[in-house]
Amino acid sequence: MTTRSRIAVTLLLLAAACGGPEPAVGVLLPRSGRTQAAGDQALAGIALALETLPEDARPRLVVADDGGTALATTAAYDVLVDEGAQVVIGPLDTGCALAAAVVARRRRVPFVSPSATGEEVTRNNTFAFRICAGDAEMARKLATHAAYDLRLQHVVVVVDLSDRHALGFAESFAHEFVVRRGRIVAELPFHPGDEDVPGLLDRAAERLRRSAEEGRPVPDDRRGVLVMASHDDVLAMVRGARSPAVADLVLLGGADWEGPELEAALAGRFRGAWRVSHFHPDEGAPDATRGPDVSTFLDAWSRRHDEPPSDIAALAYDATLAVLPQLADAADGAELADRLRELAFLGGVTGRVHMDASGRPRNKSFVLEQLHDPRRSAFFERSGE
Amino acid sequence: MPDRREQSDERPDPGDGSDAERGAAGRRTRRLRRDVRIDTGEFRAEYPPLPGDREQYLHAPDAEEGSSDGLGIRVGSVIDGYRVKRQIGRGGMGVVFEAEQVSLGRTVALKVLPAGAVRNERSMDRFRREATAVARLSHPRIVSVHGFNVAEGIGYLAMEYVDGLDMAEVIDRLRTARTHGRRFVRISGPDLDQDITTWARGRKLMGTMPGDPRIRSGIVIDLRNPFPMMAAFVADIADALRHAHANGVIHRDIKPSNLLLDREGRVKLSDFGLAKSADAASVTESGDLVGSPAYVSPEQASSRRAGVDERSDVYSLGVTLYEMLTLHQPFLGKNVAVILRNILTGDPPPPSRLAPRIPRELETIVLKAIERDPSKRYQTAEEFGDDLRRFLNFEPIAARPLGRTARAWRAVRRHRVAISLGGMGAIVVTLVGVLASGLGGDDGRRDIVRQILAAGGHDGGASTDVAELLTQLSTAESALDIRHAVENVSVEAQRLLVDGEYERLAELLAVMDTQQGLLDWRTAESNLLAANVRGVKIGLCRDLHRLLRARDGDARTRRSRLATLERLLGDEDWQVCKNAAVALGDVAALSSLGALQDALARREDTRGKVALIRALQEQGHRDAVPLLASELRSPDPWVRLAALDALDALDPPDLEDLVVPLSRDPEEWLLYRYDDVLDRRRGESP
Repeated sequence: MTTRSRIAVTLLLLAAACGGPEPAVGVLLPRSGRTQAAGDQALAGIALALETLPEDARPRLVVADDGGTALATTAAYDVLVDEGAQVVIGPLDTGCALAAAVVARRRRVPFVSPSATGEEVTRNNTFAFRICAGDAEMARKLATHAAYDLRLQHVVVVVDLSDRHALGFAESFAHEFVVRRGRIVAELPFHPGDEDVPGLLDRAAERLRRSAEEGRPVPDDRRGVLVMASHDDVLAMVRGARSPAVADLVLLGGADWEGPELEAALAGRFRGAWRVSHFHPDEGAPDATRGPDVSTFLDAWSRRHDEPPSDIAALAYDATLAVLPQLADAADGAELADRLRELAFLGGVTGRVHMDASGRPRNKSFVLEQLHDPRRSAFFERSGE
Repeated sequence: MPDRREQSDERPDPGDGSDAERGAAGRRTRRLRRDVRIDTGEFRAEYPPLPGDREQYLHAPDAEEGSSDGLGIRVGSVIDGYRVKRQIGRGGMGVVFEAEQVSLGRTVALKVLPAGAVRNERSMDRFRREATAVARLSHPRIVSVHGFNVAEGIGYLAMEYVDGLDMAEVIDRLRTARTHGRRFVRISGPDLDQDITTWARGRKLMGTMPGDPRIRSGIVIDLRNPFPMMAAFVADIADALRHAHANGVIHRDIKPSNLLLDREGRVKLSDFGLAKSADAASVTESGDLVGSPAYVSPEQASSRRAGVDERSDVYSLGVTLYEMLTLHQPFLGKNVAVILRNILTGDPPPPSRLAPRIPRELETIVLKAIERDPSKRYQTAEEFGDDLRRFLNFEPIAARPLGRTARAWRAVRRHRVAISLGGMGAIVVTLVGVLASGLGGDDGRRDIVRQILAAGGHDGGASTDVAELLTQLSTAESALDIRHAVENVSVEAQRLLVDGEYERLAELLAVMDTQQGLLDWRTAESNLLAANVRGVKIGLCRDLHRLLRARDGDARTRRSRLATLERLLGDEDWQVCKNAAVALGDVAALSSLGALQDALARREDTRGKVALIRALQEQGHRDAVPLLASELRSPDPWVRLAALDALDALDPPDLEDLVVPLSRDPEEWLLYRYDDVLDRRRGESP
């Protein structure tokens, strides 16, 4: 078997199973393909969450590989349900979550996605949930920060055409930025693997320069580039930038912008680099208690991993802890879905989760973080405020 | 009679070589769309193969100067008393030469049947019918026939020679002029290609009509107000049709290329090759459809032969007028079947949406002429012509615009299936849910997973035959069967993408989209199919974009790839639409401009519309300006913003006039952008 489209169903019995009709929790993550690294992080977060539970309270866990593709997602979801899953944690990607939503509704088994930010994931579907904020909310915060705090006037959007989340986020950002009197000078779309990916920041700088010459004068330090791309593509762009003009740019990005490699590549090359995310490794989330919950998570994580936890790991950790208590005595998937719609989970390391009737968290908090800043300055924001 | 466009000089538009090349390529695309006849019995025999590559097409008229394939006719040869001077056209019904009738010394157009067609009784019957149909007509606006014969194994029709352009060429010229930002276009006169910019400056052109004393200078159309001129041309053709109908002849193939404009500005109706006489049996007894798809009436499209009467000609003339006024066809589609379906079930975009300056009365007339229900159209060509003349004379017209109730009723009727199913929706969904959940634990599901595992690996051997997969999909009865079929098809689509079999994949996706429509009532399966193939479609857009950018493949392959992308513009999923739009915008093929504009006119979602507008902006052709200007009146502020940005980038000469509506925009942030555009335009610094 090769990795693509295969369904590598791996049964991980992480907890001792007691006899009897125990609830099973399905986990649907990319265990192969381009997004496998994110799947690894998420699974680590879920495993850590289970460790916090008493041994006899740990459910049976069934993990399936969605390969990061919609086709594999639908088949894998079925397998999970057949294996007894009463709820599914995952998938991570908006495109996969849309496919999962179809099966979830038909099989009447809900899922909770840690990180599918697309606005349409939970639309008109009582079995689809997410615990992260939506693209529109996150983009609004980043646009507000760009327009009012960083005082950017002109922005070029670089966006991965194959990534639904990237496109949705970029569009929401553009709307919010324009309403705040900024101008989107150009959109530079690309596909991962395109030859011109490393030169995209140079092209963006050139478009910004031309635009400033043709229209109203814009100071050099009021220009920015929103890059909605995967970590690898962002890294390729940052490393491939050659034009001296990029030094004047402020880069803006999303949760994928993390990792020491990227921070090292960014250091000193741009006027600034900001990302919006759900979790800050040093601080947790703004409205998290910063008490036992966050420290428990960080301590447990540091015992097992050398790198700090990522956004995805933290969100998956929260998703698990939020969902498991709801399983107790739930008669069926529909009742579980009803409970999830009223979920109020206060102990999350990424902030509180108050689910609304449409399966999305209300006022989910964010972190606006300046990368490669020695002080690691971070703004904490809450959506809807 | 073949296309008149091919009778006339195939001169490139003035400009540099690349402009001329683009113009010719654009004409070719339009020809491909417009001239597909749906006479299935004779299609293959009569239509010559399309040129295999772009180079050959661009120079085809010169290459064919000497001889004509298979006919053995050379310049200078004499056929039954007609000396051939040059080949001036080629079409489905034969080759057309400019010839001299030796006995009378007059110039004629000699239409010669294709080689072999003389032995084909059906072709000969059609040819003979054209001759006899036209012979009984005598009208100044109808091209007259001088003779018909079969001599030396060559069947020919000698007709009046009309030196000038046909209306399809006129439309092409107007489109090209708009693309290049020119305001005045000469469409008749001694020198059609003369630059008339200087000539036109300072003259009042609005009132120039056929019959005007200034006609000797030729007709010059002002692109800002071509409407009276076009209405006058069509009123003349309506007269010609009245005469034909009074003599029992129904044309059945009215379209711009059959309206010939001579150098003195007189318009004439030609090509009675598909005409039907009231007293003669039609040659299409088998029920084949006749006519050019974009212009056939709903009754022709539905093949209800009994319902085809003079009102069908009124309809086709209405569609022709629509295109002359807006430079867009009202009904388009990715293939003939879709065009016909749109004609039968769709409503055309209001002409004012495509040509914002069109007078309301003229728009009302056009829409009445192309009413789907024949009883609601003008009942005769005479009524149609009379109403056009009333408009031209500033008199009240007879046609009345649709009221609100009628429009609402029409919407209900158009969606009657959805509405009637709406009541049953809950029951159906419940049934499917019950069925699916009942089958949920079926062993068959594991089979599906096994199949996906095997197919996804690409090391497991042969894929299932596509036809078999589609049969599975279309004949599936139970929820599990449907699911099974959907997943099999999706796996096959992924395999084709990975293997780079793009043509087969495009074909498969097209059929799948149709099947998805059939699955609509089973919402879950339809969504599943969409979710599964979304990634495949995006991958297809990506690969085709890369290949087109690398200029990979010959002209035919490139055209086919562009056509695939054009089809994906209409995909229900906005992400697929965006991917296709980005590719087409970047490749900037002029031939795709029409597809982008049509998709924009039809699409309703914000994301799709914005993506298409950006693609038009990237293409950089000013032909898109009128449509973009109409989008400035969109109720959606993001569409208005995108249209403003695009117009700002295209920088048409009348940009200030176009964006004036935005000065009253309720969105304050949009006013800011509007001021920005105008300030820069006026050279002001804020």
